[in-house]
Amino acid sequence: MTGRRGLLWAALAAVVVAPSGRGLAAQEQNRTLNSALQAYQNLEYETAAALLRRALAVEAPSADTLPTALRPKALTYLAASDYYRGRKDSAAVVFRRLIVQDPRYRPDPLIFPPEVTAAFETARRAMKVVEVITPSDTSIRLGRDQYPIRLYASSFHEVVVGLERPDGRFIKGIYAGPIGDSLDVSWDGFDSTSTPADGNLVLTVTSRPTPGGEVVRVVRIMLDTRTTHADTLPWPTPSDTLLLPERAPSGPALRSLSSGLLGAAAVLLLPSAVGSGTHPAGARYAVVGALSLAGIVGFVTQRPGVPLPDNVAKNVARRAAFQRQIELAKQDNARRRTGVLERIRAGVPLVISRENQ
Amino acid sequence: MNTRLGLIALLALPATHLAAQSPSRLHFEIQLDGSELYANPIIGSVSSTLSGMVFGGEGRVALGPVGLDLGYWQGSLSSQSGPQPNEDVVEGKALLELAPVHWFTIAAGPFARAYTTSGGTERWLSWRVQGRVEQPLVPETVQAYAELWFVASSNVNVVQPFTSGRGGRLGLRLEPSSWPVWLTLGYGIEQIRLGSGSRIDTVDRLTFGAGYSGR
Repeated sequence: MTGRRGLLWAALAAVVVAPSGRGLAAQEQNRTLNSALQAYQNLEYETAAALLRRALAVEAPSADTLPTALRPKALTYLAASDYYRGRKDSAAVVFRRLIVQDPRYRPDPLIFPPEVTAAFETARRAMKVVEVITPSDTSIRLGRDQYPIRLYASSFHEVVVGLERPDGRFIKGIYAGPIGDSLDVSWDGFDSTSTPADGNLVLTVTSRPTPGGEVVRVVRIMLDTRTTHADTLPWPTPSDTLLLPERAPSGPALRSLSSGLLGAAAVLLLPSAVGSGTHPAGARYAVVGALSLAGIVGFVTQRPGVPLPDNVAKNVARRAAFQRQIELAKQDNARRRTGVLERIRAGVPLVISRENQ
Repeated sequence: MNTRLGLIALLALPATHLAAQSPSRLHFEIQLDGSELYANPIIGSVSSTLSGMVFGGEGRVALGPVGLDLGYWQGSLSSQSGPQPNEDVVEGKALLELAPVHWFTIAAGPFARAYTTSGGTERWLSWRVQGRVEQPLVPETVQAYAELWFVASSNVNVVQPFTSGRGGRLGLRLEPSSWPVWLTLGYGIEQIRLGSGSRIDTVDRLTFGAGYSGR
């Protein structure tokens, strides 16, 4: 029994203490990168390059393969290691790989010496790479909104941005001209005939070193576009209690009359109701008359069908307000009927470059 | 005594409940009035009739649904028939009110009356429980009211013991919204029996008054 309990505790401790597989991989990645950086600091460039190449291996990923976020840093150290090993061509290849992955990346001049950053700049100027940023899933109102496309270039060159069908048929040209560091262009959702574009399209960004020059790189992004009409809103419905009665109902008038007459009758009957043998004063007839008269006056002033000016005025204002609500709903619906919504979902960028070929 | 305590408890319990529900709103009104009063005491088989004017007023102050109604009147009555001599009359009341709804009020409290003649003073102290309803006859102009009460107990310094008593009052109040004061006209009657009917005192009156309400 004691032995079983010991095994159980050991297993539990192993579960609690042992890191997960993902945690182990991360530790291994950091350890490899840290070892490489340590070797670089110790001027052991051979070791550093070997460790970094192992960490950057993507075709056969292993536990020490670096995640994307750490790759630019590792590539820079790899290029610097190659550079100091005397393999400047190899360093240039690594820099080009770095630029393709992230055209906006620049080595930190406080970490890397000028000869390394100069080699990077040389490679960057030679590279004509564009990174294309588009919303992955968005909707635009045709005629009012624009679909934004942001371009980041590695160096100054010429780009042509356009749309085509997957089979290559031209849809619309968006931009043709130079790009420096970055460029914002946009698409209005229409094709070249001003018809809302619908279906599968391909956004192409073609890079050339010079106007009319040789195509060096094309980025293609699949766009799934769907046009829809916005729903119209229902008209406001009048509330049952919106309008007040404009003519007096019969209830209050009859209530006043009956109350007055009943009160008068009650005055007449009160002495006999209170006690027998009473000799009530005749003065009570004044109250009988006053109550009867007031009841009749109340009936006349509230007689059924008499116009109620206060209610009429309130109803005029309420009708006008309700009519304004309807007009607003009409205008809104008119806008909605003419407004076409285009939903655009972008796919993953596909890069075709001379270097890949 | 038990009846009084019961009445006070009856009023106190719902009053605390309603005061918690209703907004604290102070309301007061004061009325000055004169009444033509007719007294008709019947002692045994002997009947007398007296009449005269009494003047006075009453005031009411209310906080939310709970109010206090105080009144005082005095005057002289002249004998019209029978052996009853001329007498001075003084009346007063102090009623605690509770209005569960705006058109109905229930009230209870003492009502005192003293008849003074050359032969002495006859004092009546009655405990009254009354209900009052109000109904507009002409909107924002004329309001009718009706009160009915019964005398729960009475203490009179005469030989006959108290038997029963009840009364009522009806009238109207003219209070156009543009007027600062209101006018009232009402008729009321009360009968109290003593000694199992060996003495019956009936008092009825026609009242005309003017008053002011404020909040």
